[in-house]
This record gives sequence, C-alpha cells and structure tokens, in this order.
Amino acid sequence: MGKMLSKISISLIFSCCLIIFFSYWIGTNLHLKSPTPISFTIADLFGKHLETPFILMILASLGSVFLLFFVVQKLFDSTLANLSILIFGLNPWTSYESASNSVYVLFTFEILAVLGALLLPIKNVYLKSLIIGAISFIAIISSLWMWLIIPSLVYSGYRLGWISSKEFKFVSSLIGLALIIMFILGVKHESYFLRVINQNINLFQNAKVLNNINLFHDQFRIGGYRVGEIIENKYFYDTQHLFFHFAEYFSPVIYFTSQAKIDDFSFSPPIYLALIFPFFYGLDLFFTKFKIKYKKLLCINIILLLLPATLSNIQPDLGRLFLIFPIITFLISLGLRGFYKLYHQSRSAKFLLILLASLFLFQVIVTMSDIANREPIRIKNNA
Amino acid sequence: MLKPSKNLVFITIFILIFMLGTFLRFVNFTNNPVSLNIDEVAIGYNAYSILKTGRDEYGLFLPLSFKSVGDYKPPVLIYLTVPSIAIFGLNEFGVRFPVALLSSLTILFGYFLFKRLTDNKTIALLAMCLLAISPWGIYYARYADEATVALFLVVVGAICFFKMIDKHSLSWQVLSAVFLGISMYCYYTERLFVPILLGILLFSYIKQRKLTFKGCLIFLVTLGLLISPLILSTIFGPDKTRVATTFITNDPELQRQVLTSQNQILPNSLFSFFDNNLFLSIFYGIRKYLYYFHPAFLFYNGLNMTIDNSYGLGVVYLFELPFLLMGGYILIRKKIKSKLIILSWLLLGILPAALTQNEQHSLRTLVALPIFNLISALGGYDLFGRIRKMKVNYQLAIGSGFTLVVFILLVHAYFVFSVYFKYQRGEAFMEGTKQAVKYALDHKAEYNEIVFDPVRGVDGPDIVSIPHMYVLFYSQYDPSIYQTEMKRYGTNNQDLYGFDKFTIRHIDWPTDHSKTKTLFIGSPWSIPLQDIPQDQILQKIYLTNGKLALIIAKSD
Repeated sequence: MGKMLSKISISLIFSCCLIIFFSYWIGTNLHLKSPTPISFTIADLFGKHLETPFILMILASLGSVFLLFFVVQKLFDSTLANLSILIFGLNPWTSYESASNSVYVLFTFEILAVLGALLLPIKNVYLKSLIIGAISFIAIISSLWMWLIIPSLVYSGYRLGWISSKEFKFVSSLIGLALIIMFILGVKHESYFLRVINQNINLFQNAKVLNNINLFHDQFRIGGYRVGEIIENKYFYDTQHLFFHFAEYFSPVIYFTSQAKIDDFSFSPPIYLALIFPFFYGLDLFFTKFKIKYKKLLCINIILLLLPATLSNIQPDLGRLFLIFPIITFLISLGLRGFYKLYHQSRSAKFLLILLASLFLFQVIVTMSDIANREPIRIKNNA
Repeated sequence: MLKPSKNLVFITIFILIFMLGTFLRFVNFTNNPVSLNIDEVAIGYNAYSILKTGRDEYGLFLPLSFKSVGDYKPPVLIYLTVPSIAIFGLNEFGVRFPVALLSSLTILFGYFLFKRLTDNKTIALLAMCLLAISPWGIYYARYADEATVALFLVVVGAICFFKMIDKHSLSWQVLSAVFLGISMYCYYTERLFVPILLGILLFSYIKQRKLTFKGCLIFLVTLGLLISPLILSTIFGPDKTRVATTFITNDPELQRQVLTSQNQILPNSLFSFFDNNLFLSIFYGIRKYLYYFHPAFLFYNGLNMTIDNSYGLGVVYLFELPFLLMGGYILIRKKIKSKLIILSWLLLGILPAALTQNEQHSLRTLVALPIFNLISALGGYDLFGRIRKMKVNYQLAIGSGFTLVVFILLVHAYFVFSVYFKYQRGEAFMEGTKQAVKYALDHKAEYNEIVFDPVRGVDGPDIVSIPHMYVLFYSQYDPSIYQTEMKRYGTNNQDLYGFDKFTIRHIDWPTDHSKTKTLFIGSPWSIPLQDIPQDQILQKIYLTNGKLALIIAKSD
C-alpha cells in the first residue's frame, strides 16, 4: 500500500513539476500575446497584477492533474490514472494553453471538478448534492458552453450509477436554478448576452465562406443553371461548413503533428507523435472491451465537448479543443497499458513499444530544443 | 450459386454500372477540362512524333524516358497514345481517349479485384458502383495523365497476381509480372508502391505456403528483367533528375522551415544531435502523410477543382463518410479474407505522395482509389444490412434522408464538374492558348516573326507555359523537320527559344513594339493595353470566367 502510494505521489509530483516547468518556461521564454479582456477581469478579481491570470491558469492545470488522477483512479485503476496524468503533464498542449492564459484550461478544470464531485465517496446525499451543485453552478455561470456540458455530465454520472436518483434530482434542481438565473440575466442584459453568443458561436461569420457562396452563385447563374439555387445556397454551404469543422476534429493530424499551430505560432505538436499508436489501440480497446452504456455516454460527451471548437471560426481552434484533452489522455493510457501487456507476449509488440518509447523521448528533446531556440523567433514573426 | 433470374439482374446491374462509369468519363471530355494542359500537348506531340518518325521531339529513338520540357515523362502513356493519334488524329480526342478508355476498363477489372479481395459479389458490385461514380476517378479519367493508366495496370496486375496464387500457372506468373512491371514504367508513385506491396504480399503468401518457390522465382525473374532498365535509369539515368526535383526535400514549406531553423542551435550540443534537418524532414513527411486522412482532402477540396479553401469536391463523396467509418471498423475488427492486402494497399498508396513536395496531391495518391471504394462498400454493405433489420418506419426515414443527402451532394458534384471547374481552373489548363495559336497559324504568312510570351496569369505573371508545344501540336508540325531544323537560343542569359517563325521569349513592349512585321502574343502583364493603339490590338482572348487572359497585338 505504502509502495503504491509512493508511486502515485511520485507521478503526481512529477506531472505537476512538468506542467510548472513547461508553463513557466514557455510563459517566460516566449512573449505571449497581450492579455485578453478576461485576463483583466481575473486580475481585477484576484490581485491587480497581470501575472495573476497566468498563475491561475497554471493552478487550474495542476488542479486538473489531481482531478484527472482522482477520476481515472475511481473509475478504473491507479496505473491508468498515473499514466493519464503523466501524459497530461508531459505533452506540450497543457503548458502552451496555460502559458497563453487560455480560459479553456479553466473550463477543463471545472469539467473535471464536476466529474470528481460526482465520484466523491460521500454518503450524505445532501452534502454530496450540494458540492456537485455548487461546482456545477460556478461552471455554468463561467461559460455558455457549460450550459450544455454540465447537465450532460451530471446525467451521464446518474446513468452510470455514480449518483443516486435522489442526488440527481437535487443536483438537477440546482443546475436548473443556475440556468434560470442565467436566462433571466440574459434577458435583462440582452445586448451583452447576444455579444457573448456571437463571440462564442462565430463559425458562420467567416467572410471566406460567404465570398465563396457569392462567387459560386454568380458562376452557375452565368452558366444558365438558375434552378441550382434550390440546392446550391447559403444553407447548403453553411451546413457543409459546420459539418467540416466538426469532422476535422476527428483527424489525427490535428492532435499529433504541428499541422495546426498552437496559439497560432507554435511548431510543437499538441500531443507527441509516438502516442498516436497507443491512442488508436486505446480507442480500439475502449470500443471492444467497455460496456455499451459507457460508449454511448462517452460519444455524447465527446460531441458536446467538441461543440465549442466546432462553432469557432478559427480552423482548427486548438484552444477550445483543449476540453477534449483529458479524454484523449485516458485513451492513450489505455492503449499504453494494453501495449505493455503485449510486451511479454509478442516480439513485434516489444519492438514497437521500444520504438515508440525512443520516438517519444526523442520528440520531447526536440520540442524542448524548439521552445528554447526557435519558438521565440516564431512568436515574434507571428506578432 | 445464383439463380438464373438473379444472375440476369446481376449482369444487368453490372453492365449498367460499367456504362454509367464509361459515360461519365467520356461525356464532353474534349471540352471539359476546357483546354489541353501543358502535359497533354507534350504527350500528344511526342506520340505524334513517335508515330511519324519513331523518335521523340529531340530525335531520340523510342526512348524509355521522354525529356519533353525537362520533366522526363514516363513512357507508357505516350506509347499508348500513338495508336489513338493514328486513328483519331492529333487533337483533343486523340490525346484524351486512351486514358478515358483505360479508366472505364478499370471499373470492369475493379469488380474482379474487389470480388477476389472480399469473396462477396454484392460488396464487389457496390465497390464497382462507387468506383464508377467516384469524382476522383472521373476527374483524372477526363484528361491525359499517367496515374490513371498506372492504376489500370496495377489493378490488372493484382488480379493476375491473385490468379497466380490460386492456380500456380506460368502464364499468370508472367502476366502479373508484366502488368506490374509496366505500371512502374508508367508513373512514379508505382515505382515505390508496387515493390513494397509485392514484398509484403510475397512474404505473406510464402509464409502461408500458398506460393511455391518456383512460382515466386519465375515471377521475380520476369519482373526483374522487365524493370532492370528502369532501375538503371532511375539510379544513373535521366529519371534521377525527376525524382530529385520532386522529392520532399524540395518542398518550399520544408525548405522555409529548414532555413529559418538554421543558426539557432549551438553546434555540437545535445540539442543539435537530435534537432536537425534530417529529423525535421522526417516529421514533416509524417505530418504530410497523416494530412491525407484529413476531411479537407477526403471530402471537401482534395481534387482542387475549385479555388483554394472553397467547398469543391474531395476525393470521395461526403455521403461515403459513414460507409468509410464503418468499413474501417470492419476492416480492423472483423475477419476479412484479404485484410493485410487492403490495409497495405491503402497505407502504401499514400506513402509516395507524402515523400514528394506539394501539400496534398490527389493524382499521386490515385493508386489508393479502389481501396477507398472497397472500404466504403464494406461499410455500406454492413450498414444497409443493419437498416434492413430495422422497423419499416425507420427504414423509410433513414432511406429517404440518405437519398436526399446523396441527391444534394451529387447535384453539387455536377455543378463542380460542369460549372465551377471551368470557371475557376481554366487557367491551370492554359485556356486560351489554343485560340491564340490558331490565330498565329492562320496569319503566319503575314509576319516575319511571331513572338509568344511563355509567362501568363490573370492575377499576376506567375504561370509558365510552353507555347511552342501548343504551336507544334495545333500546327501538326512535321516531327522530322522539328527534330533536325536549327533552333534559336538566347544569348547572354536571355531566356529565348525559337524555331521557324516562332520565338518564345519575354515580351518587352517598350522596345519590342517598333519591330517590323512582328506578331506578339502575351498576357496583359507583358502587352500593356493602355500603351497600345487600338488598331494594333488584333484580338483579346478571355477565359470562361470573363477575365482577360491573352492579347494578340502587332508591331507598329
């Protein structure tokens, strides 16, 4: 038991240190973009210093590490939990997002906090419901997206038996209350509320798509195909645009290579390439070994977690996509553990695992070198 | 065994699919794409030259690699075009006919390949149908390109290879080696794809004891003898140039990364050992490889038939997405007879393109086309089976919804092919050059010299053409004269090429306008409209989209 505890604490400390080290290094080595309005708000709230949001985001990342560990350990086991937090800490994505004050780091923390609260081993129904309700309330007032995500998470927890029906009813009423308050506030401050909606759902404000539609319209009118307007219209292209944005996030190139730039400049891949094989293996294990109920709920929550990134006009929006990272880390951990089980059984698995480990270490070194040597120049050029 | 009535239905569907595929490949194919591109005229004229003299434009007797405009074209398509030009003449139909025909035949042979890979007639027929209506297949069948011919040869070669495995007969061993060997002469992708795929297949079949040592030896010796000149040419000969120029290290984006990353790392440090240009290139290649599985390539604009970043056509239809996902799942999870072959073909089919420059290249990955169709068909078959087990109401709802989506997407594809493509990509096919050349040929006697500017472009002078090849093609210039006559070249680094009355060079209007009895053909960038009196402008040539492409003017 003591040995296991020490293992757990080592991986926790190691993962936290990695995040602090990387975030601090990236945050100080690179001249990140100027503070956003929300940074000022957070600075106002906590300490009148613009370093405050940066520290808060790092704290949110560290909190996410602890919560991720707790959630995965509660649901599965400590090996998976250890692996998940190591992957969460070691990959550049977390550190870059923390260092650039991405508010989605905070939202990820909130989501994990709700999950953690759902899994709390408290027998007192009212206390547990109050904790879940309070965290959900804070999450719901912090972002529009949480209006959808939090109820879905709570419902998933109920369906999976994490909370009793009594607790579910109590939490649902608290969430309902939060939503009603937000709705009343929204009606009262309509213009502000609409601005928030427009800022969050800006996918259809893409001028490029509108220009394309106009150009295409002109061309088939000149070509004498006026009847085509029944199909070739704004709604068709907007639907395509929406679907494309959504489908794009199922492409591995976004996550495992530097095809999409983190924070618009970085050449670091969000997740190291070597982890692509454990990811696919983990995905395969999940879909073959887990109960159908788990699969369905995971799929629904993935769709909801992808919604903010899908409805963004940045293509692809890695900042918003960060919400999905804990799920990816879990799947990678699942795959890694599967690989390790195969390690003693097959020679090819042994070879693959050694190859992946070498590639992983190699890419960690290259990424560190890149952050030290080239990223400052890239961000300067980007600015 | 199918009942006779079912057999009749099957044969009818089979013929209808083949006819539909052939129709889509041939309909109006001389006018859409709007013009012959630079490769097509070069292929056409070299085939014409071979037909008339047995030599290429440079006078080389039956070469294995055609220097053409310095890009060293593979020989197979040019030799295949010779009979077509002999029958139909040196024109658009003659040049495009062999590719459209072989692409249609690929549909036919594709069925037998799918049948062998899946052992299921319905899946094979569904895959054949998807191949027949595939935008990827149709687009590249409608103009002369080597990749479509190579795909045909690979499909036929693969069928022969499987026959060789099943029947162990000498004729199949030789035939398979011949088709696969010729495919390697046909296109550069196959030079990497075929040997690796064959290596995997041979290893797998020898391990399963399905291939005898003797059979394997006959196959390999025949293949080795056939491709030995190609190997020599690729290592020591002119093909080396083409390989070197298209290799990933020449990718502009990679070069930019390499250049910007230099002098930023301390030499001989730990970082410099790991963080160097070699590994940068490897990671870049992997990124390129994975990007071929991005929805933008697969469903939205992989064919590049419309302007960049617009919703044109991908290499597969968007309605195939659920089929592909389900097919991929079945391929990985379930026991499929030829899983290894299908997966290897798919993954290797994209590899050569990832090792070359340019971001995404649907032509270089064309060899993977039948496998995409097969995976779609596997998934489609499974999904249709599931839907059939549902209640009638659900069947109706899903069926009508899916039909509506398919209809909308097919109408969009029709618009891309028939409207947007010619409006948006006419310039890539050198639209207008034919009219300009025809004018020049009609008025050749009136001038001492006809000057053609090779650089054109509506948005900027950024497209380099080969007008001399269009002149040779449309004038049906006697190849024996062209091969032997004196050519004019520029002096003092002046970029000039001339034969007969034609000169290909940059037009400098302020100095050129005073030349006597000279005809000038160039873009508005080289012949400025505002500086020329109206009576000197003889003709303006516009693209389909109404933009001015070329101006024909005479000297003072």
